Amino acid sequence: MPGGEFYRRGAEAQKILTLRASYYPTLRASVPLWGKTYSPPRLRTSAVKKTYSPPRLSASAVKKLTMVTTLSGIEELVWERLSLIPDPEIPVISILELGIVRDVHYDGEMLEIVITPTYTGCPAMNLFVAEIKAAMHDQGFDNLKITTVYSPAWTTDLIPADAMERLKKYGIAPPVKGSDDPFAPPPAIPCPHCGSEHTSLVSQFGATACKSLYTCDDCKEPFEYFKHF
Amino acid sequence: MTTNQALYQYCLRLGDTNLILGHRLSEMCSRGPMLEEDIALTNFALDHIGQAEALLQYAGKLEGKGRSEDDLSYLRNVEEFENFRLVEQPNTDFAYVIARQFLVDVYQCLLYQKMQKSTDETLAGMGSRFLKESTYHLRHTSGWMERLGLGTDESKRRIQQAISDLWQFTPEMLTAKSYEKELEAQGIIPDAEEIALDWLVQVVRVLSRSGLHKPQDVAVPPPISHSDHLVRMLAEMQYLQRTYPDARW
Amino acid sequence: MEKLHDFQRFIDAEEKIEPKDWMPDEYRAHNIRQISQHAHSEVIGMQPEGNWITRAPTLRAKKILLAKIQDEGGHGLYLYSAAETLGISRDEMIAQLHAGKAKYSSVFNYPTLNWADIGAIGWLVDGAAVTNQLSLRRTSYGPYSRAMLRICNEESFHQRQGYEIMLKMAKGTPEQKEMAQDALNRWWWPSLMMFGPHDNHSERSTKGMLWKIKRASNDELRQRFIDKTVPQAEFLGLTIPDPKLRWNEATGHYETSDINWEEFNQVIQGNGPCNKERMDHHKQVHAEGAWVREAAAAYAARQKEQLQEA
Ligand SMILES: [Fe+2]
Ligand SMILES: [Fe+2]
Ligand SMILES: [Fe+2]
Repeated sequence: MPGGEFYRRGAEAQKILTLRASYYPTLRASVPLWGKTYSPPRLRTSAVKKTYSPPRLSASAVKKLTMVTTLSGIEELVWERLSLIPDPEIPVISILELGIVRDVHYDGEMLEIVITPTYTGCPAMNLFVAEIKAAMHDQGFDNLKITTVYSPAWTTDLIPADAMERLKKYGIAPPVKGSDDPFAPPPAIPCPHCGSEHTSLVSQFGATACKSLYTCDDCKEPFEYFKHF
Repeated sequence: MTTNQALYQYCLRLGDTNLILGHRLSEMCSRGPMLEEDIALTNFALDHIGQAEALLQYAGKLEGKGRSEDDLSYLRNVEEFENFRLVEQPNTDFAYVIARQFLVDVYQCLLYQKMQKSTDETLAGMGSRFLKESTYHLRHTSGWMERLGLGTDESKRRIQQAISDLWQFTPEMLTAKSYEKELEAQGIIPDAEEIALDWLVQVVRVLSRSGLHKPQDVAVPPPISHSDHLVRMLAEMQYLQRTYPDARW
Repeated sequence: MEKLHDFQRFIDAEEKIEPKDWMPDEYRAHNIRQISQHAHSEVIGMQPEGNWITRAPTLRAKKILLAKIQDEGGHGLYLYSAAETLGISRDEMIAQLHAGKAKYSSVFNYPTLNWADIGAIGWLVDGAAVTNQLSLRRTSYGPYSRAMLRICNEESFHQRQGYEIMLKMAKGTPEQKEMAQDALNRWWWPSLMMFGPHDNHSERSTKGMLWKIKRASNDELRQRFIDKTVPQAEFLGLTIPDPKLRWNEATGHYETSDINWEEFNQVIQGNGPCNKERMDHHKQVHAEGAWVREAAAAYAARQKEQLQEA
C-alpha cells in the first residue's frame, strides 16, 4: 500500500520525533547527509530547551497516524511532521512557521515538497532541504522531490502570532510592518528585553541578512530585530 | 536565434552581472570603513551571488546542454562573459564601491519591478524575489550617496569623482542587445528603453538631493570590451575548478 | 563592603548582573576585557576566511562562506554593543586593539593556505569557540550571557558547514584528501591553544570563577573539545597530528601530548606567522575609512541641526 511505511512506522516515528525535536542539532547519526553518513557534532542545549518546548504531534494526529489511508491524509501528516523541524539558526521557530514550505503533493508514489527561499542567497536553505529530506526519509518516503519556487516571494507577514511571541522571548524583536515608502523613517522597534520603544538602530544589516542590530536606550540591551520582508 | 537561445543569452547577461558584482563586493570583506559597512557589503555580495546562481541555473536549463550554474561560472572563458562592464570596475575607494552599487541598484530595482510581470513564469518569480533584496540595497546606497555628497568637502569630491568616472559605462547597461528586441515584443523581458528613462529620472533625483551633478554624457561611448580586471578576477575565481578538474567540491 | 557582599550573594544565587546594576570596578573591567577581546576576535577572524571567498570552488560554497563571515561580523558588532553597556565606546576599544592593549584570539594569526583550511576553521576553530561559548551562556553579566545564547546556535551551524567541507575533501580525490590532512595538521594545535594556558590559581582566574564570569576551567573545556572532536576526525579518516593521542578507558577521556607552550607564548606576544599582517590590515583599513566616518558624522550633525531648527 502506498505510504504504508508511514502507517507502520507511525508510533515508532512519533517517539523519535519528540526526542529529536528537543535537540539541536537535530540530525541523527544514521541520517544520510550530503551523500554520506555523518555523525554531527553533538551539543547539549539545556538553556535552549528551557525557553522553548518544541511542538508535539497533536492527539488527533497521533490517532490519525494509525488510521491514515487516503492520500490527502498522508499529505496532512507530512505537514505535521514538517512542523517539527526547527530553524537551525533560530531554534524557537519551526521552518513551517517561518513560511518556507509552500505545498505538499503525494500521488501515491512520489512525494513532492514545494519550498521558497527566505532570501535568494540564504545558505540555511541547504540545511532546511537536508533536514526535510532526512525527516521524510525517516517516514519511508524515498521517492522525494523538493521543488523551489520564487513566486510569490517569501514574506514575514505569515509568521503566526505565537511564533512571534516565542521569538521575542528568545530575545529577537519580531518583524514590524512599516511604511511602504522606502524613504519614510523606519518604525520604532520595541526592546524584547524590557519592552521600551526607546531603541536605536546600530546596523541595518546584522549577523544574518534577515536581522538588524539595535540597542535599547532604556535597559541598554543590544538586541537583534528580525527584519520585515 | 530562437526564443530559447535569446533568453539564454539574456539570463547570462543578468546572471554574469550579478556574479561579477558579487565578486567585486566580496573583495571588500574586512575592508569596510566601519564594521557596519563590512557587514552590509558582505550581505550585498551574498544577495548578488544568490541571484547569479538562480539566473545561471535557469540559463543552463534553457541552453539544454546539461551545464549547471557552476559549470557556467567556473568553466567559461573571459570572452564568453556577458556582464555589464560597469560591475567589473575595481573598488578604487569606498566612494567607487557605493557609486557603482548605486547605479546598478537603481537599474536592478526598475528591472526586477517590471520583470515581475514577465510572461515567463520563472523570470516573473525571480523578479518578485530579487526586488525585495534590491530595494534594501538601494535604500542603503542612496543613503550613502546623500551622506557622502553632503558630508565633508573630501567626501563630496570623492563621490562626484566616482560617479563621473563610472558614468561612461552606464549606456552599455541601459542599451538592449539586438537579441532582446524579440523577447521584449513577447513580453518576456521588460522594455529596456522604458527602464533607461526611469533610471535617469531616479538617478538624477538622488544626485541633486545629494548636492551632486549628473556627469556629461560621453559623445562616443567607449568600445564595448571587457577589461583586464575581468581576466584577473576570473583567474582567481576559477582557480580551484581549473587546477583540479577531477575534484568535486 | 556591604555592597560587595550583596553583589556576591546575588551572583551566588545565579542572578544576572544588568548594565544599570552596581558592580565592582574590577568586575566591570574584567568583563570589558573579555567581551572586547571576543568582539575583536570575531572581527579579525574575518581576514583569514575572507581570503578565500573569491576563490571558493562552487557558488554554493561561496554563499556559505559569505554568510558565515557576515555572521562573524554581526557577532563582532553585537559584542561591541554588549561591551558598550559597560561604559566603553567602540572607538576606545579599537584604539586599545591598535595599541596592543586589547587582545584577540591568537588562532587568527595563522594563515589559510588551501581551501580545506576553510573547512578546518569551521570545524575546529568554530568548534572550539562553541565549546567555550556554551559554557559562557551561564556567565553572570546579563547582556553577555544572552548574546552567547544566540551566537552559539550560529557557531554550531558554522561548525557543521566546516565539517561538511572537510568531509567532501577527505572523501574526494587523493589531492583533496592531502589538503584536508594538511589543514588538520596546521589547525589542530592552534585550536587547542584557543582555550588558553593551563589553569593556575592566578588571581584573575580565581576572581573570574568567583564572580561567575568564567564558568569552567580552560583545561576542562579543552578536554571537552578533544573528546568530542577526535571521533569526528576518525570518521573523516584523517589523522590527528599527535603521536601520543590515545583513549583512556579508565578516565573516559582522550590523552594528548602537551601543547607547545613556547609557540603559544610567542604568538601571544605578537610573533606568530600573521600577527603583524592582521594588525596592519586592520589599522590600514581603519585609517583609510576615516574620511567616510567623518563624512557620516558631519552629515548626521547637520541633519540634527536642521531638525532642531524646524
Ligand atoms: Fe530594553
Ligand atoms: Fe562568531
Ligand atoms: Fe563562527
